[in-house]
Amino acid sequence: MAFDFRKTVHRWTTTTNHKEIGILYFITSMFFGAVGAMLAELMRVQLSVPSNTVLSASLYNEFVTMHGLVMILWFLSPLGIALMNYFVPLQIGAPDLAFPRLNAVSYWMYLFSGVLAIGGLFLPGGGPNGGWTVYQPLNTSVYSPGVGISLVFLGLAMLAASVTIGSINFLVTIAHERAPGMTISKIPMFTWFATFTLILMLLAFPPLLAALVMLMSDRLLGTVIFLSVAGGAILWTNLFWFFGHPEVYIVLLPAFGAIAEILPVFAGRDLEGRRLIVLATGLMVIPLSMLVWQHHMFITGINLAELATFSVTTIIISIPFDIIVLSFILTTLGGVKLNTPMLWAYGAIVLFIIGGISGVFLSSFVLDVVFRGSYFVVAHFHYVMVGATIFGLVAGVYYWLPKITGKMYSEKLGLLHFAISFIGFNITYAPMFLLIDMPRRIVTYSASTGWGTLNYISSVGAIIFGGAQLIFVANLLYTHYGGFPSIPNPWQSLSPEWGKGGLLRSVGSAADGSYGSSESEAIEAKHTSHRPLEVSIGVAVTLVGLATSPYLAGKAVIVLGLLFLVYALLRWARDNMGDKFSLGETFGDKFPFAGVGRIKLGMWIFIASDILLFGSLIGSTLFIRENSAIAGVVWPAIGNVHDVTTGAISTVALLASSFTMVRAVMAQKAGEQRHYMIWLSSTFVLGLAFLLTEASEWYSLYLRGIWFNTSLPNGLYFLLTGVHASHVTAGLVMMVYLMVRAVRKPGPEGSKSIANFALYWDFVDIVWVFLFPLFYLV
Amino acid sequence: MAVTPPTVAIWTSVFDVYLVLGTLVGIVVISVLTYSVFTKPKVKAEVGPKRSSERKKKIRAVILTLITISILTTVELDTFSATSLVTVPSDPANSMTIQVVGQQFFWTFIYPNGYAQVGNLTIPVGETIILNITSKDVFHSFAIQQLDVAKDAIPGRYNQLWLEVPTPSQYSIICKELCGVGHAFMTAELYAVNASTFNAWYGSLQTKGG
Ligand code: HEM
Ligand SMILES: [Cu+2]
Ligand SMILES: [Cu+2]
Repeated sequence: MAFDFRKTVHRWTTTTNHKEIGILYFITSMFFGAVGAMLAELMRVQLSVPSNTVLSASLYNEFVTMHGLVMILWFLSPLGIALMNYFVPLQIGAPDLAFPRLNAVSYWMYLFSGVLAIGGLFLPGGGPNGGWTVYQPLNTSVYSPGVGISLVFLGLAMLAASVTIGSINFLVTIAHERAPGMTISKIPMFTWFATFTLILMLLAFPPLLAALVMLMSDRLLGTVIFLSVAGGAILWTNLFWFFGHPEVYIVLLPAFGAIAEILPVFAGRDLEGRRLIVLATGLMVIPLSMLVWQHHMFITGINLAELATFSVTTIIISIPFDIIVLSFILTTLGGVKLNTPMLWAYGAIVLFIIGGISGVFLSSFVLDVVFRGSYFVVAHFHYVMVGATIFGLVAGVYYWLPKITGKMYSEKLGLLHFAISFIGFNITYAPMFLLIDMPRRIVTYSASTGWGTLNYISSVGAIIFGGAQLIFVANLLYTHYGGFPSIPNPWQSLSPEWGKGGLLRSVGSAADGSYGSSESEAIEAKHTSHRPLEVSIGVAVTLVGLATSPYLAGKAVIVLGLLFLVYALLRWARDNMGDKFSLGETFGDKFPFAGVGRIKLGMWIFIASDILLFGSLIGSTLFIRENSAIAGVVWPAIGNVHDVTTGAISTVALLASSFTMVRAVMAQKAGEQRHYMIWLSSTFVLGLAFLLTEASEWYSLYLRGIWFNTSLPNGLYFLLTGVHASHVTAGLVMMVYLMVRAVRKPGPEGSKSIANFALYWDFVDIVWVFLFPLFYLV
Repeated sequence: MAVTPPTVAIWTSVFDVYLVLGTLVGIVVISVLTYSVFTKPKVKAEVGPKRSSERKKKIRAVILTLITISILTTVELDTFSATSLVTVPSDPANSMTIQVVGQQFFWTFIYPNGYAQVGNLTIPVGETIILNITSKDVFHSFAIQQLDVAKDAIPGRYNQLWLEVPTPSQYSIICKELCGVGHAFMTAELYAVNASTFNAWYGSLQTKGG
């Protein structure tokens, strides 16, 4: 097979195939992991001896921040997503994800968001240096100016968008695209854990996005949401940990999914308590993970009732994890075959037990007074995140490698990789449990503290553990270039992705060892597209411009990025009009989504995430108002700043547009093309009227000297109505698309998307129903 | 039971319960797992499900869950037995309240008479000290790790902490929340001195504005 460079680049930049995108995710996340590891090794060198000066304090702070962000968000989580991309469709017998092009958008947005984040380190002022938790007001531009810092946070926001798009896509796929016969009770464990991960992503990322929108508004537009003591530090900690706690499970659960696949195969018996595991995770972990966030805030001054509540919820959430771990252990009773994947799974469970038990220590608000902000916490979360998660995911990679590459890895290297990693890991992190008095995130310490020896041991361990990962790379390369061909199902697994069970219906899924789609290029040719890459480039360039917008050149870059984005979206729309990339609508015949279209389901899930976004913004506004007295901020009296009549006019326009939209849907159902066009264009006109009324109000306020930066209440008004207006604008753009489509393709075929769009439009209207009283009436 | 300020002994006694149970559970569970993973399966390379009695399994699951829950309840109750470590009574008898202000990158201590000093906190032994902690700029966290006390210093908010040192001694005060480039060096010293020494020093101070 001759290597054709142009063809290869074309293939990988236009692919929408879930296997190929899975591989892209894998390689990219490994790259980011290497970057994060390098930062960690440098920090360990700095900490190895007291009063060391290898790194300056500012560089150390940047490294500790970027290490945390990159490892959690650009390495661990995407590594899980890589496996999900490859194996979830195979496990449920889906031809691909429900929206293959959106899957590619997710990937490219992920890649570019990481590039922006790492690029931020090299811009003037460097990257953020306030820790991965981005506490406020330290990270506002008053205390941390610099375009590099802005760029990293915008990269983070872009990642949040990528994750949200991805989780919608996957959830629709799992709900909707399962092969006939893949009933709920047959769904394999990895897919179950993927589903839970995705639900948590959908719930956790919108609040993060909201927090980042407010932070960037503070940094770029001059609002003072996190700078004022009315919102400030406490608002951020609540928002961040509301995201942050679910995020740690988002990181963990795919690894548990891999372990749950591996154990029964190597033990040669069913997974113990399979149903119980699914129920415990679905019914306890998911809801409770939204109710424990204040265990990260035990010393912020919350009262005893809150301390008690969050301590108890934290203890309760550890019960499902106990159930999972005990089930894993019971499955191994009676012995297992000890191949590399099984060893890694074993390591993951051992390290999770240690990490989990230390977590129970942390759930004590009494003990946490000391643990909080100390190396004990660092030990805890590395045991769960590196120990359980990385070990579990590496187990998964070894396990599925023969399926992906069609070749067998080197067992010897695999065992060596495990042994050195396991020992190195414990040498690195076990000493940290003993460093209870040492605060985390300090660049150095004096010899008189007595922390030197333990730190030295830990640093030696870090070199061993880091070095061991070179064996992993070597093994992957060996497998690819020199591995012996593997038989199709080397582990004799019963799971459908290995080709057993007769559930496979797609061409792409049936082949082994293909790295993706090459076995049927003719079919795949229709499923490639340049648009995802183009759209993501447009977004990335726009964000670079935003970050550098304090400079004139930055503003020019924004224009450039937006133009490119519009160009890409127009081409996407043209592809759609020409049915260049068509999937054909299928209807979910699977409980509980019988009869619900794929796009409609996706729209519902998107709206759910958007509700959380607006909910977080509105909730923050209420929180700030509640606390405005501390800051001496007086909320403007009714009618004083915002003219109630103008507000009422825009409200009426928007509500009326909901009504015309209903008529458009009805006309479409009845097949009345002319009425459809009339009602749809009326909706458009009303929406436009709303937007223009809004704009005129903004302008008149601006003329009165009222803007984002004039006061806390003004800033919130502009920000929230601005975010809403951007949703309205997006709606108007989509309506133009729908009208053009209806003209070019008269009849039901050209107008069938209207019902899905109507959902979105109604949602946008309902949001205004909350915003109007919030800013005009109370 | 009279509520007393936090002591290292109380914290340690709570910790010991967690430590003993945690270590025990960890050792047992990891040993069982390790033992079974490193034994060769009896039935060689058998593919397919092997069923043991459903009833037995259910009983086993219930017993294990009950054990888990009772251990977790035990440690949680242990925590609840020591809430005095985290709650500060509004106005305990024989106490002195000192304002603590965190700022990039130093701590300022303001005494009841208005005297303010940077970088060291002098207190009399045997007296209840209430610290009223806040911040002038960003999020800091006031901590004396050896005394097992800590509270965040948050702009616009006041958090209370109480402590009592029985014998003359010296401890380091640190900042536990990353607050900028000087974070690692945002330290101060706590000096607990005899009441007579303290009174002599305190009485000699001219009042200075905070
Ligand atoms: C039995 C299970 C667990 C319990 C009871 C638990 C409890 C806690 C508590 C109370 C804290 C706050 C400590 C503090 O900041 O003072 C904490 C921190 C943390 N935990 Fe866990 N945890 C558990 C499992 C996990 C898992 C599975 C992960 C991730 C895979 C995880 C990741 C983290 C991280 C990243 C932090 C620190 C965040 C930071 O401050 O930077 N934990 N845990
Ligand atoms: Cu948490
Ligand atoms: Cu600090």
